[in-house]
Amino acid sequence: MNIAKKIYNWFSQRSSLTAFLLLFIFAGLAFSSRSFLSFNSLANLMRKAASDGGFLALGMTFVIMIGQIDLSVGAVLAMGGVIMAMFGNTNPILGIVMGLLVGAVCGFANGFMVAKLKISSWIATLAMMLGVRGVVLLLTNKKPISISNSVLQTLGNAEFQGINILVFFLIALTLICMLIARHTKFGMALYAVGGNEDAAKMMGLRVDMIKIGAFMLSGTFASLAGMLLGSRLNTCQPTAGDSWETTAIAMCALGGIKLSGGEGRFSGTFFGILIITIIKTIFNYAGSLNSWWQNIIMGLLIMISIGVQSDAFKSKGTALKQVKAKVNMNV
Amino acid sequence: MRSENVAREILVEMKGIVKTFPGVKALKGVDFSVAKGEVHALMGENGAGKSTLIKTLTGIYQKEAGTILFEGKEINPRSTIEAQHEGISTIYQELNLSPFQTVYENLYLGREPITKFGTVDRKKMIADSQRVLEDLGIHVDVTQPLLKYGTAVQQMVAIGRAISINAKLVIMDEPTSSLDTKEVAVLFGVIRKLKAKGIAVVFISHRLDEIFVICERVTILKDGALAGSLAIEELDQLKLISYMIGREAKQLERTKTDYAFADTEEIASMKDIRQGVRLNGIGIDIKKGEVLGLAGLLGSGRSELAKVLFGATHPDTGDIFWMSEKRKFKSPGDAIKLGIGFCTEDRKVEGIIPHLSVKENMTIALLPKISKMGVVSKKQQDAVVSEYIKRLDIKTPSANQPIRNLSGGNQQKVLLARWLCMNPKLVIMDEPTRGIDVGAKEEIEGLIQELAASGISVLMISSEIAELERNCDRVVVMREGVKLKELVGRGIHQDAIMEAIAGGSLKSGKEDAVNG
Amino acid sequence: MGKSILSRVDRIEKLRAYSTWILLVLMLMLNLIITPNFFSMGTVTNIITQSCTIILTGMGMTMVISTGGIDISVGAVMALSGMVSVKMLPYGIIPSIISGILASLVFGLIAGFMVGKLRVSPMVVTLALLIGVRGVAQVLNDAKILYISGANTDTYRLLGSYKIFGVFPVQLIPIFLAIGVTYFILEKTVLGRYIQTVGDNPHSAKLAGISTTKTLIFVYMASAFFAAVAGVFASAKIGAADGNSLGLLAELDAIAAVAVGGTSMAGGRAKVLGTVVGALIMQLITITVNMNNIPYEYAQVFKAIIIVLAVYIQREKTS
Repeated sequence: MNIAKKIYNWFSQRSSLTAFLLLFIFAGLAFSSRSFLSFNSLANLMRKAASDGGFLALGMTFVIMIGQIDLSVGAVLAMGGVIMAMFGNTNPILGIVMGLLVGAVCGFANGFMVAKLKISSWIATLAMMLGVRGVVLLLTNKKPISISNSVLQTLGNAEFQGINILVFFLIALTLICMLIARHTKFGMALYAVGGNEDAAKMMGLRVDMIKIGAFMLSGTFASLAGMLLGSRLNTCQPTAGDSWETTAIAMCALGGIKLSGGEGRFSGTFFGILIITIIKTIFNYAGSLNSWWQNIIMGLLIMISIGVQSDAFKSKGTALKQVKAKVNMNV
Repeated sequence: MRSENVAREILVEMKGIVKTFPGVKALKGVDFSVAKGEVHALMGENGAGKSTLIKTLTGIYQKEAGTILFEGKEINPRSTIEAQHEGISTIYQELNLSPFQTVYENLYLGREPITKFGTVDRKKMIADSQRVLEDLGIHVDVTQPLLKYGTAVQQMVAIGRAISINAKLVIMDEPTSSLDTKEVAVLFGVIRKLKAKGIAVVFISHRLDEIFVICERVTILKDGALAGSLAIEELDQLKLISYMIGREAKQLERTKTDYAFADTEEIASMKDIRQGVRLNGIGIDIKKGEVLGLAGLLGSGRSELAKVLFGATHPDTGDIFWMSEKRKFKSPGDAIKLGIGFCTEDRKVEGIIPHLSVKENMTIALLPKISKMGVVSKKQQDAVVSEYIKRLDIKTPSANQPIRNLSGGNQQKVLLARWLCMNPKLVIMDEPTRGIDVGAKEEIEGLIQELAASGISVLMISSEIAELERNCDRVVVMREGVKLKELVGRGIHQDAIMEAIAGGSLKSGKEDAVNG
Repeated sequence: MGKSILSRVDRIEKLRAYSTWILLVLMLMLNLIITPNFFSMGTVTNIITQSCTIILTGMGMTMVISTGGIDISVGAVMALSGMVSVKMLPYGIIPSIISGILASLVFGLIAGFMVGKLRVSPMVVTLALLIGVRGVAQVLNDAKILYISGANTDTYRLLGSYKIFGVFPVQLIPIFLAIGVTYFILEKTVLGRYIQTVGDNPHSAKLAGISTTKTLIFVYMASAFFAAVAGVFASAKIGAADGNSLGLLAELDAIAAVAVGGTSMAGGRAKVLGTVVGALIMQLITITVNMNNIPYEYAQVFKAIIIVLAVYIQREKTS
């Protein structure tokens, strides 16, 4: 009995992992005739997870962790891809560096507006999204740029043992994020700022720097996503990543990252990514169901996952902040 | 006032501290000194200046005049971090810790030890925090998130953090307000350990029993000035209370004589109200047209009782009666419909609607009555507003001025008007004249008498016993959530009130338990 | 407080309060100078027809933001109502519009209930609706565009193309009604006072006897209502209901209009006319760019900069 309880506890503490496993098993059984559980389809699933916004969710986690939001990740994704393409066809290293740099710069701008200009992250990243998307469209004259450099093409298309390289990137980055979150001072500070920003300040943490850092990470991950996506498709579209920010937020929410900040782990985000991806895949397999149903399901899932997240009901820290200035989760 | 005590080795000395805010002189040249390893109580009612004094010491506010000497050299901390570097730490009432992170993370946040790989050394943090806490006599699993533990343990963590950053002075702001008897005993044990280490403790509290158990010296502030600073041996409860809310020169004479309401019908009553730790089985009754005062120190539960009566909070047990009918108030709306108004204690947090105008603030509760089909009658609204601006002499450039631009006193008047314009049957006033100048005080007190004369009952909570003496037909003295005594008619005067407050301690056995 | 200091602070405050109007005037003047044919009937007509969506959704958003909340589902609701209305068109124009509105109100009620009663964060709830409701809109027609055809088509399309007296675009009606109703509610009614109080200080609101739950349910339903109407008019103008693209990003425009218009994102005092000005500014940016043959993307960049500037200038100075 004790062992059973232990196993149950282990799984219930890792709700995203559990949910994913359940879905996976379900899909496996439902589509057993189509060999869902085959290595190939699993590899495809992972690849899809990596290329369809997985990195965005990882970067977004940093921002949500501190109680903010980043709506610009879709646009920065496109920017990253385009910049890489522009510089990278002649000089791949330069292309990669510039691509990452542009993401960091956008992230810095976001962080600056939020931390120093005290503009709500909603407005700041909304404006950034509009502005960056506009700039990307202007830079490219609304036309996609194709990747001709072989290095860059390999970057997105190489395969090891039948598994696309993007999958390794995703796993590697998840591990790096987990390392940052758990084993660095920055990570500790991140959780502190998200849990109780005033307390973090009182304890001497440099809250502004941490905010800027989180946004820079989000921006860099977003442009990386764009770069990898472009490499894989051999073309960088200025319209790439459109509306992908909401998917990223959904992945985080389902991964147990509380939108109020201060709680959640990157391992959760990883499975949140997989859950969304597997839902999309299930819909693809169940061809008869209109694939747009996934949007409805996603909406429902977010609602449910919020309900399951124990005290996500109350604006975080009602006890802590009752008397202080209003805690605005949406601003 | 100052007693001789040559043996005290002074750690921090504040001299002549002055601090003003717009319209208010919060500190009028206050002296305050604490010796090494001393447990020093800082006392005073709300508005006396004690939190301002502490905030000046810990760098949250900048003093305008005076000096602060720490270990002999002058300091002027401009932030809490600077104060912490000097060795001054504060344990706040609203614990400033990170709730979702673990105990050991909280202890080391911002100064985590690093392994040779550059990563955070959790093993060391766990071991060290275990040690720090056990040193204080606390045995908890430091790997659990902080919010799993109650306030008591969280406090210990805060204290542990202070020690591990080499605090020489630890300021504790109302540390026992959410603790039960056992936890208080544990806290006192920790304080004694701090003392043994030579760490001084400033103990801000209103709980007289505890002061007498754990503190060696007491400094009392009143109205922004030093009322007294004595060794604990020179004080008893009554003497201490008189320093805190002591006798004032009477500006107005008491006009009330004999108690006239013995046979009047009652308008409202509360029986055996219990709520958490704050209200422990208290009942009061209010007669029609009577001015009933609630006296007591901070923490006696007066405001909590008022909130129950108004329907803002619900009691765990107990009943409320309105006109002899049992009622259940689900929300303030129910109370307001019956004709109850409530002028809250903290107008900034619970009273004013800062960006809205004087007009809107005043009429917000009245709106249903001056509107037809949801549309507000501008004519009626303007009429009411101008009437009360005149009646209460509210100083504002216009009725459309955002209320936050008004001075505190005028804001208070608008809030009073909010309930007066409802033609209530019962008005609850929690510290109605706090932050109001003398002239306005007279006006408001006159207004209270007018109300009562016209048959409106008033429940008046005040820390100014002179005010209670002047205005009330009856005074109920509360302490720690129970009724101690009732003073009636000619029996109401300041000395009697103070004696009543000093006289009763609910848990007389508490002192033994607390002596740990 | 010296008198001279006070008047200087006053003057800065006044400047900040009128900054949106100033900006609008500046933009109009700029257009006067550089844009050919700016003050022509055609331009005015364009402005009116194109700003219908943003003004309507902006009105609803003003109310929601005034309570300290946000509604990012308005675009999805537009798509839903457009789709439902067009689908129901065969049953008559009135039933068609009413069903579109009713469908939207259902989701507005859900949002209001979850925010008001269950106290879930508005961003989370309306995010879920953003995704889910658009999904419903798409599913209703298998994600295909539904062209308006068959019975009652001409009547419905009038909502997009009719010109009153042959001159004034029909969109003026919903625009003026929306502004009028919203202004009236927020300025003249008890409910309007409650809305702004809940956003400004929820504690005081409760202690003044205001039912926060009812107030919040109202504003989210109102937001859904306005979005529904906007969806009807938008689909009428386009001549089709497209679950994928109708109302896409409309919420962002609406938020921008409100933010630029001066209503604080933290809630409280609502500036209805400010939102209208903010909406016009956003629309003007688009039009200026179009009429001067500048690529549309520049408009996006300008909008972004204006939004940040406007919010920064109008932010509250906390002491």
